[in-house]
Amino acid sequence: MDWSVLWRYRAVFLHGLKITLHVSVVAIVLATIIGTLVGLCRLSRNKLISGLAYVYIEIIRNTPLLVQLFVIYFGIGQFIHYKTEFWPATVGLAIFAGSYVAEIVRAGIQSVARGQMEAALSLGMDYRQAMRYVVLPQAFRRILPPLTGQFISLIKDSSLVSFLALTDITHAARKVTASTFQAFVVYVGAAFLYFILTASLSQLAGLVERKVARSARS
Amino acid sequence: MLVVEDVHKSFGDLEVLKGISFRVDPGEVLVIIGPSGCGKSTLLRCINGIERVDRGQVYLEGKPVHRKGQLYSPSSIRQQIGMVFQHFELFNHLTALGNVALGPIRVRGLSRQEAEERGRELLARVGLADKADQYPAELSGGQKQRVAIARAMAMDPKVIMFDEPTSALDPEMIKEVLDVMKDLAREGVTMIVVTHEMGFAREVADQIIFMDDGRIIERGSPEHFFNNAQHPRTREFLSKILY
Repeated sequence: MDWSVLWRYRAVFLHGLKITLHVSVVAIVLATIIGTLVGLCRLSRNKLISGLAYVYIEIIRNTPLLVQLFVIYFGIGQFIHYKTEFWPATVGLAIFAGSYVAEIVRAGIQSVARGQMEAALSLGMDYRQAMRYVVLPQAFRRILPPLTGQFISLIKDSSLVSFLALTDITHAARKVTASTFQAFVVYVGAAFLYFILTASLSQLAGLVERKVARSARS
Repeated sequence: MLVVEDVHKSFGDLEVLKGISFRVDPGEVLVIIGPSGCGKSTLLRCINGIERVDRGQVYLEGKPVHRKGQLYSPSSIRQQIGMVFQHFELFNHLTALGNVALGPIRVRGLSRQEAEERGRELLARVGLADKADQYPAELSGGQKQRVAIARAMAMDPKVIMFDEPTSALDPEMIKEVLDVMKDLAREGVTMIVVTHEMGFAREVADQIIFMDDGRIIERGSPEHFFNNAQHPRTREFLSKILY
């Protein structure tokens, strides 16, 4: 076992870390947007809108992420020429995570009691204002922990984009293994890099949670 | 000022309101009493239009509350009818002052400074000047309900409705809330109060309505009600609730 390969190939690993970070951050932002919109659609009184949201959630949650990525990258790639691997991979991850975020958002909104909506309405707010100023801020506090869990999963799942020739951490590890045959050292090193990312996210979420904790008690 | 005209409401097969009519004049306090499940809360929701009626209409200063094809009554109507809930329904992510200022800022378009200035006045009026920066979770039930009253007052409503405002309170906190409500009544605030507090009804009400099974069974002044109730259902209810 030669642990020095991690240092010798540090540039490759750091590049991989950068790509994983880039893909994950953009996918998290997109998944949050998709998830919030779809979660709200799920609660719509319009049967068509809530039905479409339901179909999206069910299809995405009940098929493997890797297959979804292949459909987007190779499948759709048959008809559209992708200039880079970055967008199909990142959007694929976001569509996948977005379906889980949608369910978290929906449950979060529903957990804010109906009475809060009624109180906002009786002040004269319309539905949008009541959502924006009363329901969503409270739902946000409740969904923060499950959302963090979902985003940690997303970071780990991002290792699958290495199959789309994106040079992320996992891809870097495969490359270094191929030239050094130090599979154990290299993959333990790769796992450690993922751990740094997910642990940082947990810490960050914990910080935000503590910040809003005072009003969340109830 | 507020006219309720033949309001009907069903939930599925369950007919909750079977034709309710009454009027409330400016400065008047109307107390609605009746057994649980007789439709009082639903009636209040139909009056400010956060619940649709199946038939009938409610008029606030001559303007219809319920409009065709709309899920809720217009904002301009809703903000003029304040509501205080049994379970307070304070916005838990905002301080007491934030709760009182939110409506004026978002609905009436006041500046934060104006809204907070007035919010502090209102909190002082309900005896909570020193709690402005506390969150609901840090307040007692009685304090929460007083903040909720200040929040309703902040919109300068034409009428305030109270839906069993003391039913969720510990006994020692009921008085502080009733005292605030009595003050409002004395100042000429128009009020519709659903309550089981008979002492309050006797002292403050101008009119009392007794509801049972979705209908108004009896109505009259407090004297009439407590000394001379006519309907056997009213007498039976009063005999159970007064001891």
